[in-house]
Amino acid sequence: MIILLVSAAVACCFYLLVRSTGGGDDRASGSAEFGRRDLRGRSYPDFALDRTLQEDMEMRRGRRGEFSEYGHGHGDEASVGRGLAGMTGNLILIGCITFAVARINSAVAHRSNNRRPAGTNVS
Amino acid sequence: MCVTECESERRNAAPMKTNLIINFAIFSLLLIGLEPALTGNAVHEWLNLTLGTLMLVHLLTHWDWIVAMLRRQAREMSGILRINFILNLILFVTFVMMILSGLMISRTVVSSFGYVAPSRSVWNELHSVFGNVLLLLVASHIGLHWNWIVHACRRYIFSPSKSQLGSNV
Repeated sequence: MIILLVSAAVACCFYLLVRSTGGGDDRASGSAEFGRRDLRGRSYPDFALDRTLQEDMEMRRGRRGEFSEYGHGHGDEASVGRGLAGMTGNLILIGCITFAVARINSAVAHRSNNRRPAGTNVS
Repeated sequence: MCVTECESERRNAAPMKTNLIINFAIFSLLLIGLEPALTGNAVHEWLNLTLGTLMLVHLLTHWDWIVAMLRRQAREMSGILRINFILNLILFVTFVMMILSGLMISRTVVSSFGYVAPSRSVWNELHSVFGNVLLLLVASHIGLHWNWIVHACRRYIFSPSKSQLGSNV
């Protein structure tokens, strides 16, 4: 049980790390652009200003696989496959944590019930 | 004796059923709302605003509990109760911050009121962080109330006929 809980916790941490860094997604989050320099040595957002309007619109919509302004790397348009994959990941994470917390909660309740004098159990 | 018990059970049954429905709705909306890629940005924003309203209803249905907890001294609470209260408090703050940061980077909801958010980068990061924290806190919240969820589901989903029988006696 302990091994299961520890591996679930590690998996959760890894998942959250991947989630918050925008990994697994071919579009980097907007913050990744900060501090970056292009070949001419200009930093963001100066080099971003040189993009053509068409490029900019495509990037904003998350089609070019480069830069989405709005974090998480998501654009305006829905992607059911990616969304469902993310939702399944969230559901698994919630399931693992819920299971762990429920087990700990019931163990604590059981222990505190056992400590009470006979006939005063509260469940 | 049975009349009094049945009467009190009937009185409790409606809020419990309502709570169950509201909680299921909140959970479903949260799952969809945490994944903006699934719905696209515009639906994501409106959906989470609806979620905010449902959370308000959730708070109001538990208002008596909140007031009772606030009136109690910290030392009067048992360990689990204290953890539950603190967790709920952090969950509330996180949810408010999540909504606030979401509004600050909003392109559909806020802009429909004619407001344009000035800087988005910091709020983007905050929105992302609060989203992850919210996920963890909601999972813990569900874990702490797992017994209630199982009890309510058994009563109203898996064997609704029994509870109907109980409330009709």
